[in-house]
Amino acid sequence: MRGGERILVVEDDADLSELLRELLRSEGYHADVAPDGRTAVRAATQSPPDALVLDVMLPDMTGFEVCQSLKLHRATNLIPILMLTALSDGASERSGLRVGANRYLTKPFDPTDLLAEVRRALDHRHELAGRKTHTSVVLQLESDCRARGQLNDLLSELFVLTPLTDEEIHHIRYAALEMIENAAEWGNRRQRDLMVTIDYEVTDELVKFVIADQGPGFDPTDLPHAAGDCDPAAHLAFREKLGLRQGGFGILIARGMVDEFAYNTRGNQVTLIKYFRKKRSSGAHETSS
Amino acid sequence: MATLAHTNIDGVRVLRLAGILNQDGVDIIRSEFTAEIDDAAPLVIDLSGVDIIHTPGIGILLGAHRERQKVGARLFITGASGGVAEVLHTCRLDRVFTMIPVPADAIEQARQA
Repeated sequence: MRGGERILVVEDDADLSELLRELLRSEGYHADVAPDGRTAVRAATQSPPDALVLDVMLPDMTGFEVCQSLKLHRATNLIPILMLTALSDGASERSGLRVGANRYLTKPFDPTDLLAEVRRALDHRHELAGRKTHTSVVLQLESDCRARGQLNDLLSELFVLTPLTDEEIHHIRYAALEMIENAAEWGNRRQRDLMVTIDYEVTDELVKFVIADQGPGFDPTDLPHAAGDCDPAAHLAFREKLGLRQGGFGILIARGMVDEFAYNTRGNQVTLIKYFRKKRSSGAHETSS
Repeated sequence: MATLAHTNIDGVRVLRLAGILNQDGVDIIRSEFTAEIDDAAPLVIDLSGVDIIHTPGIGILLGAHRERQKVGARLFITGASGGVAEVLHTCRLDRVFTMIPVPADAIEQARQA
């Protein structure tokens, strides 16, 4: 049994919060309780815990709003958050774009599952420390892309937390936006109930986006409707035949803007990496899967 | 947010695009843009005011290029700089379009076309 870490429980139901506190203490953790979102944000900012167990339904704000408050600030960005949701709660309804938690657990939950998820969240924190990660945020975007403006604003806020130059920000942001649009349009076919997940991480050496859709995936090597390296216009006739709009440059552009660009085997997840200048000069290279 | 302004300089039609040419921006200007490219006279598209161009923006430029090619009409792209020029270069579209860096030079070439 491990423990000793400090966990902040954010739950307005007094009985449940006491139950959670006792459960965590039985496992050797130190557990504090905050009854609402604002108290939680204040407490976590003044004395950052090792993890948060956060209910999605709070009296003053949703758990996602608490996530956003914590994840967009340097001092609290890396605190892992385990969010407790209920299938029928209104706050779990999608809201265009939201900052996500690290892990989720649906109520009612088994105490063993809760403890296991807390442990996974804490282990994830140690992994990030091992990678020298100093910013890690997960965003979730509905695929009808009504929240484009919000996404742009949120990315701007995120980049403030990094040591990137303006040029580096421009390049990685450009590539990420192209791939997010691709994931929504082609991966999820703009179905609102399908999400694009955007995993953003900054370490001492690099900034990384992992962008995933919920679609069936595709073969990145077989894209007759996308621009190729040799002839940038060769694919246009094919697109015209299929009744597609003139375009198909997203992957070509994104690949040119980053240092590493790779799809997973299924083709529904792409990883973009931009190294900071010092690392690039020592010979990073592009990879693809 | 994207905008489109059209002028006539020395008998040459010039379309000035500005702002961000992403999907939202293109949706704003599309119908007006489409109406402006339907003419056989030489046309200059000035990108000096464009901050960022994404795939949808590239799409309407390409669409214009191809439509005008079909009827033998000339199209000149000018004013691309910074990130916009970089994107068009990354796509190798600077080999497809007739790109003239300085708008005054593009207007002159269009006038003589």
